[in-house]
Amino acid sequence: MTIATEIDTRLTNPTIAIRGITKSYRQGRREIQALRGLDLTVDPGEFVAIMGASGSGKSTLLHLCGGMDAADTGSLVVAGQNLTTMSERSLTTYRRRTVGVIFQQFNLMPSLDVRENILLPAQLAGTCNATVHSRMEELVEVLSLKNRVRHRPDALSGGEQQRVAIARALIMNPPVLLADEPTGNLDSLNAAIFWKLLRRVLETRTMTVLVVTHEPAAAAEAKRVVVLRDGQKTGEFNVEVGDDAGILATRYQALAT
Amino acid sequence: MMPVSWQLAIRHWRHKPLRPTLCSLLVLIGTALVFLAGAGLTSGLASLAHDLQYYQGTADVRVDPRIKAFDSALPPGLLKQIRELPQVAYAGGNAAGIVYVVTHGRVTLVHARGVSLATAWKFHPEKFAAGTPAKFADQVVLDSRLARSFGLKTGAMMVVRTAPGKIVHLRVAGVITPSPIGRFLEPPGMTMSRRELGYLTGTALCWRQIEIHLHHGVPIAGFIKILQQRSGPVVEVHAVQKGPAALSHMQTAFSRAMLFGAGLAALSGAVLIAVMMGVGIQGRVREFGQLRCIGASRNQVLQTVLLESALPGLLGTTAGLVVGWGTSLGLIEHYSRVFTVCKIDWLTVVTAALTGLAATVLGALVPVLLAWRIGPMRAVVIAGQAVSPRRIWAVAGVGIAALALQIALWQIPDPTLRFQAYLLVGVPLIFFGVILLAPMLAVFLEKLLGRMLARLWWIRPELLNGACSRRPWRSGAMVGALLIGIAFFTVMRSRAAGLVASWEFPRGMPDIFVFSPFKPLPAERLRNLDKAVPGVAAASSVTAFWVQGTVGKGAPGTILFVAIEPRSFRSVVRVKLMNNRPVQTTRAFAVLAAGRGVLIAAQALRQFGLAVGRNITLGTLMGPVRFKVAGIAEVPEINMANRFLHAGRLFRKVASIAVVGSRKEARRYFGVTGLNTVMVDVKPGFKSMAVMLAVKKFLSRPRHASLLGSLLALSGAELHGISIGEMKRNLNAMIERVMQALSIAGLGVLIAASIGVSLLLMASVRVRRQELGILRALGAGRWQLCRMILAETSLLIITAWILGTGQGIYLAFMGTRMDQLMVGFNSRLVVAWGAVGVCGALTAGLALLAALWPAGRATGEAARALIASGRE
Repeated sequence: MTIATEIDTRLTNPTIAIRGITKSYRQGRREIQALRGLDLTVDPGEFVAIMGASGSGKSTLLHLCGGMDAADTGSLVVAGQNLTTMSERSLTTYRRRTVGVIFQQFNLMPSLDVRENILLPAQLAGTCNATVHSRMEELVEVLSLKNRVRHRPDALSGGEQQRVAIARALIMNPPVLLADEPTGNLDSLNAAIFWKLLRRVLETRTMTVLVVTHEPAAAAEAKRVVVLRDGQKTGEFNVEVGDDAGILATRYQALAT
Repeated sequence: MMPVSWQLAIRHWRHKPLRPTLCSLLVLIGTALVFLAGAGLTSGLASLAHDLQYYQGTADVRVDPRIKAFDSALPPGLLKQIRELPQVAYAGGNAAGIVYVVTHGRVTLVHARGVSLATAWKFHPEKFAAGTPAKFADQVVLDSRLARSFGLKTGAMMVVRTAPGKIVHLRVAGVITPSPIGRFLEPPGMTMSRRELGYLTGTALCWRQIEIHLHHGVPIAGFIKILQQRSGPVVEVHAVQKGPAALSHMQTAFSRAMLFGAGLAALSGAVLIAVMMGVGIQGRVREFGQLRCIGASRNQVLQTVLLESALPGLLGTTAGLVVGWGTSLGLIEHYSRVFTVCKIDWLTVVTAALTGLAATVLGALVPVLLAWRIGPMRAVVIAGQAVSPRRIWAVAGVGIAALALQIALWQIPDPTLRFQAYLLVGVPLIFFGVILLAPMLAVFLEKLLGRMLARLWWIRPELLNGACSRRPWRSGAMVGALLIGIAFFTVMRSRAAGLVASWEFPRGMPDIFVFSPFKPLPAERLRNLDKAVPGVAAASSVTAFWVQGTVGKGAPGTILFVAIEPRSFRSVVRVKLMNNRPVQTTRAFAVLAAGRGVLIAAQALRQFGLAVGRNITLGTLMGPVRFKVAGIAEVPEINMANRFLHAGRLFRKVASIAVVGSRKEARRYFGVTGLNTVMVDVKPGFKSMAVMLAVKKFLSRPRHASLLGSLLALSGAELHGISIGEMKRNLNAMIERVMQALSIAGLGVLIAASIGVSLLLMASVRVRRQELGILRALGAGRWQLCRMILAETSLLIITAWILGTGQGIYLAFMGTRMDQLMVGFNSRLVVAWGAVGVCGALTAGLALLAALWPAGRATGEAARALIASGRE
């Protein structure tokens, strides 16, 4: 089965299904309950923003969805794969093929140039073929990185680094894109450019997107906003066409407090 | 296409080249040093073997007179009979004599070797500096020292004469370069036809020694038996021990020493690489976490780390082999007078390569283990957990257990097994144990000295809080890297000082020995020696000759009777007497003086089961006479020399058939009145060489004056002399030179360790950039932070100095125990505090310099940039 066929198959199922998930961790001698029996469903192709105050568990939720951390209890199914029962090896394959992650701190490899950073997931998966290369060319073109491909991260601006991170997250054409405060380190102008370019990239792809943010302006890009508080979902609302950051902030405040 | 792990490792090297390059350099130095040591040892040993071969000749069998008296010679016609034997390929003879060479009006006494010209050069293939071997009776071959002294070149004529007034003119056919052993053991001499020598010396044409080369495949032992039977008891037929065989024991010891040194080098290199690369991995946890996030498997991360750690090591090993090879060849060529043979064997190459590889692989293990634990979450979460003091104590406990285990290894009853187990396991355990103690000591010293160091570096004491306790493992690792160089240097210098101070061999021996090899010395001269020669404190004599004797009910055999003057002998020679327990020396010597008493050597005790009070029957002029064993002599220094050099076979043989009796008995029972060796102790303040010359002149003064005799007496040239004091000085200088070379190796390790420490400090400061940024943001000044880093480094240096010096002194102490165990030499522990202090200052200086640069760089950046670096 080719990657494309595999992804199409997965897209026919509900993409993210979270049932009663809990997660706790220790901070010194204190035990922190990050998630307390959270339920959430995200449909294929849906763009969902997770909002909440610091310590509400939104980043923990994203890490669990990205297969980076393991839940204590509950069930977490992403693109038909139950992450709570997967082995270390399967989780590695899952991270390679099913999800693309964009971090707040860009997290690019400092020793590799833009091109190599973008191709790295494909190289790690051993699938760095002509298709991947042409996809890379396409992404570089769309994300306006064409004249920066031979530069290393330390020679790029924050906005450019985050664009490289988008390209790296999409190079394997994953069915799910996860973003953790993707514009948290960018000024408003670069943040606007980021969302514009991401929209342009997603136009040609059917992809489920889960974005963690506390910025209403970022949440305005989503179709639905889920609000968390103390590790539990306090509510959600759909983003209508024309809703601006102010409106969303008001609605978010109503659910968050 | 290159695997992604390779790409990442190579890209990282290109991106941050300093650390891997210095790791390569470290491995290069270690590998090259081991190669150099191996090549030096094997070439030195091969040169020694070659020189021995050269000195001993190529003969398979030798024939000597049974009784080695002044004029003893082999029966006439024996050489002809031997040559006719079917087993013999060729045979030749040697004779020796003293002739006088007259050059430029100067008369010089010269040792001459008379040989069969047809075979001599086959048995002794000398190295010719000029000319060719002598082929005709009117030709002579000179030692290069003589040729230089006489100003003679090949083709020149020289006048040789003897006391009766015989004169011959000889042409110099060739000049030989003596081997280093020959240079050490033999006086300068000349080689000529035996016929000419016989004419000059007026002696009968008989050989003092015959050398035999057998046809290939002839069993040597069988031939010796046949020839001994044919030749009768007047001669002694024996096999010639060839150089390499004689040195096999030494070769094994050297190989072990080299392997041990290589093991230590590998271990030290591994610690340094492990710490360096380990700190590097700690600084790149987020990077590896990112890799895991985007789909890198644990194995891919491990491969990347392994390659990053191993690639520098592999390149360093390869380069180290090349550099080691080249340097060895260059140095051996440069010191070609010492290294007559250049030999680089496979063991050297393999050991050096394994040293580099072992350091690489062991060093890579720590970063690989660190990387193994990195999960994808480390891309987003910085895990910083305080280390529990219990864990620090637990690690220290393991260290103490390791140290206790090495002490337990020393209790193994079998000495050889104990030695090997201690070298292979015990010494690494010491390193391991001490390094594990480092975190605990660093934390303890932080509490003890933190306030004082803060005052010294002029910073707030609070800034030093947690300098080590917050990062105990990293602090311990840095101390571990620092202490290796200090420990090596301390042990090398302390061993050198201890060996020089303990070398007591000449202390129990006379200051001067004077031999008369060709004619007996007048006994009455000895009595007046202390009055006649200024500087003589005490003098005694020894005369040895062969007699027939029987021990118990055994068959009669030849026994060496060593005649001494019991009263004076003890004043110049220290003899320990034993009979399973110490016996009173005075009582034993009283028995000797009373008559019909002898001392025997410990070797005789072992061979014949002789004990104090038992009898030995000697054939005397009055028929068989029973002598009572008064004591068993043990000379520890000689035993040590025998064991260490493994040259004791001949000594044991002689000692087991020797008895020590009084000179009075020698005169009474055997009619021997002359002396052949005089031993002298020199008064303090007199130069032993000057006293030796005066003694030689006094002893060789002729009874009846003649012109030539007076000339000879003026030089005392007929006598051989050895100044033990001079010998001790030479030996001390030699030991000091060897130890200096070892100290240079120690210094090499220190420098290599300093490179590692510099890297570590750089990495450590880099890892802490965010912390420094926060401190800057909170108002700490740039120089204040620099001083803080230097104060922390001082704390590490003090910890490393305490542990390194302690470890070095302990290793030096165990070295003295090993000397006693394996060589029988009671060396003393002398700590070279001066060198240890210099080493400490050097390490401190290097480490502080190494810390200053990254500290200056890091604190020079803007606080915002430093804080942001924590999120990279």
